[in-house]
Amino acid sequence: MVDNIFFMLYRSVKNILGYQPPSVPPPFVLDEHRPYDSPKVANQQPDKEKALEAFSSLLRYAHRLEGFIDKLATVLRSKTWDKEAAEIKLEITALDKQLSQLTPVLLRYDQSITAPKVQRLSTSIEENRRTVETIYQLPRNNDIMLRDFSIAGNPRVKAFAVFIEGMVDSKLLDNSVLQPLMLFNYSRELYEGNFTEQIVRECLPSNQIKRSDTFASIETAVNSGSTAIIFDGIDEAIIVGTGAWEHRGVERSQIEQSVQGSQAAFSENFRINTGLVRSMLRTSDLIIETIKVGTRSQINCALMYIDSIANTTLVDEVRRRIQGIATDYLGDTGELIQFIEDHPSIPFPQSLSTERPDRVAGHLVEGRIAILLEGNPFVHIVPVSFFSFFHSAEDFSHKPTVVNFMRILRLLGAFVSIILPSIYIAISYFHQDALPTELLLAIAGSRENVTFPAWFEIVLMEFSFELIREAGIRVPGFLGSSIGIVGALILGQAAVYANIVSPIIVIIVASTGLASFCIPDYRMASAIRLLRFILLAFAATFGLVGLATAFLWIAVLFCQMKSFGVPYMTPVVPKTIAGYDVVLRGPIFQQDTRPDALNVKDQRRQPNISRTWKKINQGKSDKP
Amino acid sequence: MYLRPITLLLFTVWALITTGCNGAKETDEVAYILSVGIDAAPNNQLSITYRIADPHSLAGGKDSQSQSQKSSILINLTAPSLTEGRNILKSIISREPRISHLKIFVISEELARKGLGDLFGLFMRHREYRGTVFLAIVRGSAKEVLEKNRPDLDVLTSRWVESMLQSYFESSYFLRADIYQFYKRLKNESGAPYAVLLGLNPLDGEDRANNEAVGNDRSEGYLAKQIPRQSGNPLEMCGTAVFKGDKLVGFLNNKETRALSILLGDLERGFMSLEDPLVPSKQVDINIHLGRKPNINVDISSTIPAITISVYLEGDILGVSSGTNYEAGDYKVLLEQQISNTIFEQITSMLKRTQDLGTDVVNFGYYIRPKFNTVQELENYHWDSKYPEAVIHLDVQTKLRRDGLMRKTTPIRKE
Repeated sequence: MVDNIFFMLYRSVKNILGYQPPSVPPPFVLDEHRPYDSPKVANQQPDKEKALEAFSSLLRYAHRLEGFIDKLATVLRSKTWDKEAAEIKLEITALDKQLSQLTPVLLRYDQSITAPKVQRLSTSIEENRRTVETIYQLPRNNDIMLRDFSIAGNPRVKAFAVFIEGMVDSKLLDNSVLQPLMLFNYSRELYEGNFTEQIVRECLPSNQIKRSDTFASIETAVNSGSTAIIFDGIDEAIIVGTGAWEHRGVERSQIEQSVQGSQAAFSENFRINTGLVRSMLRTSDLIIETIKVGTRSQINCALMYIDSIANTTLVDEVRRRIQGIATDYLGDTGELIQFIEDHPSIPFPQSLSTERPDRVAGHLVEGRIAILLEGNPFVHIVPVSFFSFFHSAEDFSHKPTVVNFMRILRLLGAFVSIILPSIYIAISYFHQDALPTELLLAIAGSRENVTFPAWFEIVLMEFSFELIREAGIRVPGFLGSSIGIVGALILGQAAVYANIVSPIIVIIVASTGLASFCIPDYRMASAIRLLRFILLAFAATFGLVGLATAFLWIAVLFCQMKSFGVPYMTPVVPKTIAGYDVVLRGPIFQQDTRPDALNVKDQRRQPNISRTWKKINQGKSDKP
Repeated sequence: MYLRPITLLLFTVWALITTGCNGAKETDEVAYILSVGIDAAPNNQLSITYRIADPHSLAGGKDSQSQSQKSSILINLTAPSLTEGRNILKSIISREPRISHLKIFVISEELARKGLGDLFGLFMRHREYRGTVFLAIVRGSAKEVLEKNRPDLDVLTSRWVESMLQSYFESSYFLRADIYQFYKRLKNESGAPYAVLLGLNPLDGEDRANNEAVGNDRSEGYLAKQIPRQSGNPLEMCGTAVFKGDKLVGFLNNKETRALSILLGDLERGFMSLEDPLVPSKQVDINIHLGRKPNINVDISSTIPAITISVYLEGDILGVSSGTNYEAGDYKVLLEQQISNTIFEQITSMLKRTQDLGTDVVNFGYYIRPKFNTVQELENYHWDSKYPEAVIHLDVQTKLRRDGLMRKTTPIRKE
């Protein structure tokens, strides 16, 4: 090919306009959950691992036996062995028990068939500790505390306490559980008769005490704030009621108010916040990972998700992004989100910001991830779709018909708030024929004495409205209402009276402002407010054609946006299986599956017939 | 590196600029013409009258007391055509005259008799003239009509026109006629155009009609301008102006207009005051409406076409002053017969008049279309010339359905 000037020109134009593959890595797209990708599924370990597990159990038993033999030898040599006799006797019985548990068949059976939760406690403190670690997925989950200590007495017994930080009353735990056990009993003879009963009767001044020998009951109790104490050589644990996740500091939600449902809101304390979520969601599946963010000021960032529901790749991606933040200081969850979201330059929010633990819990159960930053009362939930921003916290507390009315009202409000000023401008400038004559003449009549063009009136009033709104936020609280009155009433009235704006503009701007306040999410409302001005410019220049063009562009923008790999407009674009909770919501007993777009591990929330009492054959035979 | 976004932006701006969306006008830059009256002027000129809305007086709020005084202004000028008239109008008013909110054309009888074809070229082609603009013929001067129209209930004359013509079916004494419908009939193979008949009543209470009531109807037929009354808005709509081609040839009075609306199949309701079949000095009041659309058949096998019409009416009894038990039995049949006869005679009289005028207003020509294979054959048949000779077989059936709130009455007690 001859390299003449035309080809050179053609190539340069092609280089400018033609497609070039982007230099950034491909965007993260959330894929289906594939169990074989994730190594952390506990239930189906391969045989090799099981064998290894069994082998190391045996090894640990051997170590213990060896230690015991050594101890026995020293005791026998020291000639004061009658004192130690009780301890040795007890230890022998414990070893016997452990041996009987360790018969390989039993061991294999225990580990392959039974999940750790349903196991009974072992006499070995080592084994018990390992089981607890498996249940709570330690050390990933780091608000679960294992506190090792020895009980003061004769002999000193090794023990450890399990509790969840933020859900227990620390003072209570220190003063009435750890202190009496560790300090008070200098000369008490232990291992006489029933050990746990002796402890309960003589040592623990706590008022709520239970004894338990299964991990299931321990887990339930710990999840609700109790402390479990597990002793060496005893296959029974003591559960002490320490459940007082601090109420102090938890106040009513100021931003997301609701008539129904929980009123609690997050506060600034990190552990209180995680405790609030734990108190809503009492399952050990709830993982609260902590990641340190910031180089200068290292601050805790909690990543909350339900391990058996949330998509593993999604969790990995969010974790990777948070770990990939290199900055010296982060003070706010909003700042953190801007570091990790997909489209930081688009004003529409891509995460749901909430200060309500009940909302966080609801979203976690759907398979989403919550991000919490230390010292910040706002939790951000990812990924979200556009429609989530029009749901409110109390939607599920009301009946569907009522809620659907309110949801339609909110969407309509959003639509009115975007479009009303621009449609007025478009029609009054370009499409006067579209109005009935009387209405047109009424509008024209109201504008007769106004000197400014209509678009200027709208901009002026919208600007004043924004001023009032911003001023209302910035001034101290008790002045806020008076600013609203001065601004809205007096200014509007005076502007109309002075023939600066026509009354119809005041009506339009006021109803637009009102409509924008019914959008539940503040950040979405702010973005929509911004959008209004863009649409206004288009409508004033090109009429309804411009408005339609702008809407098309917004639609394109929305359709290409992703919130953490999940398309922003799901389940509309792309079309996925929509549950009964997108724009409208169905009855709560028909919300059988989780959102399809989240590609969760467990799609189903409840069986198709979730109201089992409706079954006909029940009730006749089952009743006592 | 920013070349691509900049180019994209430029293309976008270019695409938007070339949309041609640059006709923005503030509402205070436009004068809205509400009605146009056209009279014939000497030397083949038109005397055009514009009624233009004055939005000042329509502003809500502050001073609404002097509202209905001057809601619009009137401008009269003479020009050879409507377009030229609009040019001249721009020399008179400060704002851009806009016709898109025009409600009615009022055309004088004199001009209509000369033919309206020239006007319609503009009406249909120009973007701002809507097909829904009403068309009215006035017996007298259109300028005077626009001047003297003083609606009692409406602030704007445009509203008066709209409300009048949109609720014509309350009596069907005049028909709704707009320029689209007129144009369609003007250009189609069959169907004569018609327009609303307007007139200025002198308000002296004199009965100018002086014709005989047709059938057993107690009231005679009126054209606009003839209704005996002494007050109210001098302007009245009554009857229909009938055209042959684009030329006005005659009028149908209100009774004939209602008969026409029966045959057109759009009579919704209408009251009738009939002579009592048994006591001719007393009267019976009936509310009639169409039971179904009239069944029309046109036979063109012989040289003289034969039109068969079957009309089925339903009626409700509203008042029987003689107290005769017309609600049941043979009496009912008697009354139904009375209604049928009256309607029969009214329709016959209407058809005779249109045949005399040579205008097929009912559009019987529509019913012969299936009998031809091509448009050319249809055109060669020349229905309009055959219509005046056509033989018409009319059959009217009436069924009284309801008798109002009373089952039965008795005569007034004699002293």
